[in-house]
Amino acid sequence: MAKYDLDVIARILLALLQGPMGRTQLYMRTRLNYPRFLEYLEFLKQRELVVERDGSVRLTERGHEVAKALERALDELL
Amino acid sequence: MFILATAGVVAVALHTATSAHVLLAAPTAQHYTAAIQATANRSEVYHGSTIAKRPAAENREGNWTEAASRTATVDICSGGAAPWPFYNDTAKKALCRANVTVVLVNVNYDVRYVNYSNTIPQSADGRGYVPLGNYVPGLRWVLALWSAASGMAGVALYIYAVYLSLACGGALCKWRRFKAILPFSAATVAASASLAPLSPLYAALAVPGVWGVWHYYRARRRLAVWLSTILT
Repeated sequence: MAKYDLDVIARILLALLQGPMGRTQLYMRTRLNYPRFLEYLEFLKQRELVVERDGSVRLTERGHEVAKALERALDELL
Repeated sequence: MFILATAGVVAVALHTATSAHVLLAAPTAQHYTAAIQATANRSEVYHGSTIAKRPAAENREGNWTEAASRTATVDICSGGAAPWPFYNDTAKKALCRANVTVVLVNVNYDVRYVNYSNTIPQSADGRGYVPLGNYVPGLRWVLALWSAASGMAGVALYIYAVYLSLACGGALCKWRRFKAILPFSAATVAASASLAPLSPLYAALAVPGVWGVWHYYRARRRLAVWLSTILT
């Protein structure tokens, strides 16, 4: 994926910060079309931010750190 | 706080948008009175058609000057032959029965007002701006439409921002509230644009909105740079 949208990445990471969720549920949260959602999911998997296990998508340890850092940054901004 | 602050501004914009006809209303004597108050302390408006009595001698103190007049139906009599003469500075003038509005200004600071018959004392405080549309008739519709359109846009943006801020939960909500800064700020700018035709002072309302937009884009750019270092 050549270009990614900060908005979508943030939505996926922050949604998964609440806990693992099924692929369909996450797809609904991202509000993308399904092929595009799969591209983003693959993109994040390649960068070891998320993993798919037991039918659910969850954050890796690194992904959790990034999502937490994003949340802290938003706390400072708001 | 930001929501409440913008709510106030947008409420005013909504009011303006729904009452844009104010801009279309015919200019009143009050406007003309107000227009000259930048240099005057007190002024009074004569409605020529009902002037029935000239000022009493004791009330002709001070330096009265004719500051403005609106003569929709001009019928000015010269000399003292008219039935309703009055003093304009030191010169005696007269107005015939006509649809004439004359504004007299007393530049004497200590003369607060004079009780002429059929006059309306006007305070010199505030209300000093005459909407541009009153001077340029063709512009009035444009300004009214502009006011209505930008006011409605402000309200729509505000509703969208409230939706972004409130219809969410969890960590994702923080992101949506961050995103809501943009429509909130834009709503403030739109409200300011809506009110600006009434008075240029309302343009000052745009300052927090512009700051909000700038703050949003600056923060977003920083987040994007930070995230790109992680994702690449």
